[in-house]
Amino acid sequence: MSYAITELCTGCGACMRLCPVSAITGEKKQPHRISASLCIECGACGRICAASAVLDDSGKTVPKMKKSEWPRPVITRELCVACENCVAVCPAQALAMADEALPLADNYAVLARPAKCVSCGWCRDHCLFDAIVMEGAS
Amino acid sequence: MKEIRGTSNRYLFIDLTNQAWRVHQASADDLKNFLGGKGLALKIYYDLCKDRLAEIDPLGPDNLLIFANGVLLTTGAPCSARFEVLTRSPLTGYMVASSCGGPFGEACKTAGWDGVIVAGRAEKPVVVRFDDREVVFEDAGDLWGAGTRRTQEELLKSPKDGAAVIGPAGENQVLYANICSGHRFAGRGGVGAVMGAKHLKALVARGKEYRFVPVDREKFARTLKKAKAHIRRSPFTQGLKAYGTNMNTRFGIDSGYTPVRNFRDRYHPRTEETTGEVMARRYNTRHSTCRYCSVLCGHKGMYPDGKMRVVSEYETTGMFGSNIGNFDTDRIGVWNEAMNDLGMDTISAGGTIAWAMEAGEKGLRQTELSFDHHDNIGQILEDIACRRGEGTELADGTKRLSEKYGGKAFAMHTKGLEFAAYDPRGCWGHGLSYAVHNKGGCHLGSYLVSLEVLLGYMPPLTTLGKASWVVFCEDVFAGINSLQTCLFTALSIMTEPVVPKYLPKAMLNVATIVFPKISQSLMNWSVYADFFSAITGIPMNQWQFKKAGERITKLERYMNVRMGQTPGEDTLPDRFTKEAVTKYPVASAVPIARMVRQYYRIRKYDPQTAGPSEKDLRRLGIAV
Repeated sequence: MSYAITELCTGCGACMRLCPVSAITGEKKQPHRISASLCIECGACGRICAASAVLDDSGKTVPKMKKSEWPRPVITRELCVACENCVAVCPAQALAMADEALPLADNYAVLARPAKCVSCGWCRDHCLFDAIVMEGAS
Repeated sequence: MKEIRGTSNRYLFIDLTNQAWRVHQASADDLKNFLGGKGLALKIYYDLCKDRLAEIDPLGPDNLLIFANGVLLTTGAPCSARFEVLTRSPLTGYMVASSCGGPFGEACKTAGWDGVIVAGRAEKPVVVRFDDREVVFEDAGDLWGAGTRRTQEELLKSPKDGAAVIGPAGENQVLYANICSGHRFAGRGGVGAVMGAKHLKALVARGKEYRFVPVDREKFARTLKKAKAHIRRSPFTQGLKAYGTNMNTRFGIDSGYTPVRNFRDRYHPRTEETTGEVMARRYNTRHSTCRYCSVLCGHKGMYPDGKMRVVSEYETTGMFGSNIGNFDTDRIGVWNEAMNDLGMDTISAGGTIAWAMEAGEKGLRQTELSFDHHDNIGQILEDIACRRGEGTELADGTKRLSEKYGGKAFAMHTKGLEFAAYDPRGCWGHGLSYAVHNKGGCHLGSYLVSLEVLLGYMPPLTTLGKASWVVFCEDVFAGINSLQTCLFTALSIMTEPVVPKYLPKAMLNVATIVFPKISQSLMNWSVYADFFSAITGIPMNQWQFKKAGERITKLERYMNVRMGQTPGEDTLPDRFTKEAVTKYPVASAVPIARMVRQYYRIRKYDPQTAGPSEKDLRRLGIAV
C-alpha cells in the first residue's frame, strides 16, 4: 500500500524535499507522484501539503498540520537502555545516541535532528522498553 | 496497512529451476501441532520430501531450503525478530535448523508470508525479490563474489526491505557457510552452502504491507507485560546486557569448560585477557542487537585501529582465542568481521582450524597453521571461503579431514558439526546435549551448561538426572525455536518460579538431579504457551507446548534416521571421554555411553536404530 498524490497537486515540491525515502518525484509546478514501492506510509507528504493533495493508503485526504504540531518521539531517559534499535530503524536518521563517551549503562537515545523527524512512529514501535511515546507540541 | 489476526500460514514456494512461484498454504492443524517457525518448516520439509529423504543431495536441486517465521514475529513480543532456516545439512547430512535475528524475517512476515520454501537450482546466480503479490528473479550480476555487507548495501532500496544473503563462502559451497541478514546470521550447519548450490545470492523481501494482531489482545498484553518483567529483572539478562555472551568466559575459567588448543587443556591463564569484562572496557562497548531484542547480548565497540566493529560473540572468542592459542581479542574482532563478510560460521571455522593445527603438530598432515603463530589466520579464512590452496580442504570441516588423514580422537565434532566453545568435561550434561542433539555438536540443543554452570542449578560433574533434563530442555527449546523467540529468554522466564528463585542453591542442586521430573514440573514456561494461544487463538497450555516440542524433536530424529543416522553417532570424541587429565586441576572424562543409554530410555528410542518407534510417533500424531 502507498500514499498517493491527486490532481490538486501544485508541484510546489515541499513533499519531495521532506520525503525521507526519496519516494516522490516530479517537475516544479507539475503534478508529483509517489513510488508505491518506496513509500513507507509515514504521511509527512500529506501533513506538509498546502493543497491537501495527498491521500493515505485508505484513500482519505491527509489533513495539513503545522510542522510544530507533528507528533515527535519523546524518550524517557530512565527507561532507555541504549539498545539503539530506534536509531537503527529510523528511516529519517533523526535519532542518535546521546554521547558515545558515556558508559554503556548511562547512554540513551535522543531526537538529535528533530527537523528530520517525519512522525512515522517506527522508533516507538521498535522500542521494547516502553521508553518512547509520540507527542505533538499542541 | 492491511491487518491479519493471528498468522497467515501462507508460505511462498519458489522454484528456482523454472523461475516460478506459488502459494503453499499450511494447515491450521499443522500450526497447532508444530507451532510455526522451525517446527512447521520441518513438517513442510517432511511432507514435501518424505518419499525421497534418503536420496536428497544436500547440495543438489532436490534439497529444499526453508525460511520460516514464527507467530511472534512483529507482534512486539520480546526477542521475536527471529526466523529459522531449515534444510538438509551438507556438513552433517542430516536436518539442520539455524535461527537468525536479522531484518529479513520482519520484512518477509509483513509482506504477508509466514515463510519461503526454496526449491530447485537456478541456471545462473540470481537474486529473488518479493513482496505480498509478486516475485521477481534478477540476475545476480557482479554481486556474485561480493561480501555480505556490500551485497546488502546494494540490494536494500527501502527501509521496508530485508534481505537474507550469502557471501563468497556460500557461493563456493564451504560446508559451514552461513546466511546473513543485517548483522546477524543463520550460522550453523552450512545453510549458506545450500543457498550457494542453488545459485541464490539473496532473497529480498519488501514488507510493511501487513500488520499482525493477536486474536486475544488482552491475554497477549498480560503475557507481554509478564515476559518483559521477567527478562528485565533476571541477573542472567543483566550479565548479557553488560558484557554480551563473552560473560561466559569467566564461568569457563572458573569451572573448566574453556576450550584450549583444540579442546586439549581446559585451562590457560591468559584466557583472563579475553573475558567480557576486559573486552567491554577495552572497546567501550555499545549494544548491537537483533530487532525487538530485550536481552541485548549483541555488542559492538571501538577497536584500537579506530574502527567500530561488532565484538565477537563468546563462541567466536573461544574458538579463535584460547582454542587456537591466541589471546589477542583485537585480532579476533578483525577475523570475526572478515568471516561475517565472507559468510561463514565462526564456530566450525575455528574448530576446523584448531584440528588442522593439532594434526600438523602430530605430523598427520602438512600445514602452515600452528597454535604458536597466527599471522596467517586472516589469509586462511579467505582461502577457505574461496576454496584456494589449503583452504580447499579446510572448507569441508573437521569430520571429513579426520576421515582422510586420521586424528578422529581429537576431531571435535558430533555428526560432523563442530562443537561450540564449551568443553563438556566441565559440564557433563552439556556433553550429552552435544552428543544427542539432532543437529550435531551445537550448544543450543538443550544448552545444559546454562543450568549446570551459568545458573548453577545442578552439579556439573554427575550423570544423575542429566538425561531427563536434556530431554526436557530439548522439548521446551524446540518449542521456543518454533514460536520463535530467543533462547536466552528461557533462562529468565523459566527461572522466575519460586522454587528455583528462592530455594537455597545447595537444596536446588540436590533436587534437580535426584528428582528431575518433580523439579521440572515446578518450573514455569507457560508464558510461551500463552503467547502462542493469545496470538493464534488456538488453546494451549505449557504441557501441550512441551509436547509440541517433543513432536518436533522426534520427527526430526525420525527424518535423520531415514537419512542414515546410526546409534554410534550419538557420542563424543575420545578426547572428551578418555583424556581426563588436563591443565585444569580437576580431572574429568565424560561418561557419555551411560547418559546416552538413559536418554534413549526416556526418549523411547530404539537402541538398534537410534530413532523413535512408529507407535511413539503415532502417539504424537505423526503419520509415517
